[in-house]
Amino acid sequence: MSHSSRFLRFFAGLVFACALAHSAFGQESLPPKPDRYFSDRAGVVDLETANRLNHELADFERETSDQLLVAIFQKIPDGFERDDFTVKTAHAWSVGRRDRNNGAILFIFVNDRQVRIEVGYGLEPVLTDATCSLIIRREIAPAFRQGDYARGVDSAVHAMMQACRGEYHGTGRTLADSSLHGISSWMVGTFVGILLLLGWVTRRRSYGYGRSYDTGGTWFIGGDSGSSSSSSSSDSFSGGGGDFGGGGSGGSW
Amino acid sequence: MKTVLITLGVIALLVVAVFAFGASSYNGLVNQSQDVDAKWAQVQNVYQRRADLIPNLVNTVKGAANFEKSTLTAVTDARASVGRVTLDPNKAPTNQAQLDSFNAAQGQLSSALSRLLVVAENYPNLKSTENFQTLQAQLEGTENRISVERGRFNEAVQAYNSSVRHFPTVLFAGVFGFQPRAYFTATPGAEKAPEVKF
Repeated sequence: MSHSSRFLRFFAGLVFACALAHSAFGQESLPPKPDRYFSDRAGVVDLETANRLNHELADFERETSDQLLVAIFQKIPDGFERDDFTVKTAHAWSVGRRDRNNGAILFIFVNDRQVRIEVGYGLEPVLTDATCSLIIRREIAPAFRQGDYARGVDSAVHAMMQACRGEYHGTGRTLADSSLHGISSWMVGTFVGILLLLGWVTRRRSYGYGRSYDTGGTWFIGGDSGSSSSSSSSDSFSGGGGDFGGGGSGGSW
Repeated sequence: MKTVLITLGVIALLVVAVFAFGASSYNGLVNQSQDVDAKWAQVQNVYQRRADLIPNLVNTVKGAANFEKSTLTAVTDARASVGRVTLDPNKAPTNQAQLDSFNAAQGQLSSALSRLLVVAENYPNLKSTENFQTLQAQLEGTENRISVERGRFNEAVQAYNSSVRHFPTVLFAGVFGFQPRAYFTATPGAEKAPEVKF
């Protein structure tokens, strides 16, 4: 018994070590995909501005289908060059729609005083390298030099929106809105289907036992009514498979 | 009689299995080689983008008072030699030597351009013009795109080449004429910043 348990422990340890090694070396450790348009991991922008910009960026996707993100980091992770890190992260987060590649991310690395706008293939014609460079030099750098991150990010985001507006048209929904709808209607459909089946089975049974017609066929309707509309107004981000090819510009302040 | 039937059945099964396996590895190789070609087209694209920028850049810099002539000539010469090494943009090269000479010519243009940007630091009047700053941003952007697309191309070639060379796909790769593709190797000295002497 002690033999087998020791073996099991050894085996579990081996599996764990392999998993650890895989996560450490198998993939480069890129940051996880954010669930908001505006993510500030360095804590330099006040909550009110962060929430407002997050909402504006979600609305911008509803209007244009473009996904613009802001990602603020403490520093560039060890072992990465800035531009290498940003394009790999943008690729991994798959910002923008798959068929349009219309995503862009404003990366900020506070301690390194580095900034980069990474632009998806589909936005390269409007958010050109030169435009991005201008946004960095005119909107971001002056404000950041004064330590006013909120103002710099705010005006940069608006400049990016202005450049992108008109290139694509939105559906009035973000991808997160649609997928929430998609999932819940799918779940509701299955749920209703199961209940119908149950209702049918119990009805047959109750006929068989000579009981009166019971409520089995009707009580599911209550479950259907208010289930899908609750979460549709949240401003969470969900990537759509857009890709990046290193367009955009970088700078420092 | 019974043994004959069984043998025939086994042979038929084997034929079907080999055929199914061949078909699936053939399809896999086709997909991978198309992926390589698509990424190669992307690589050509970004190199072309850089080449297209150069006349504009040269004109802008020329306008600056007594800009160092040798730097400019180096750029235009390198641009010209890049134009002489043309590879089919639709099909990734199978010849490593061909790709190496393409790579060498492009590498020369890269270093001539980065030298030009370094030299431009000494011309504050030029550097502060909107036109030059725009060009600089575009140039940096294309260099970045080049490194991204080259990296992805190399990854695709590695995946394809390892399929072509490994057992058992290697059996079918030879039959169907799938050859290993060439990929980018780092040009010696390319990772160093250019030295500028005054």
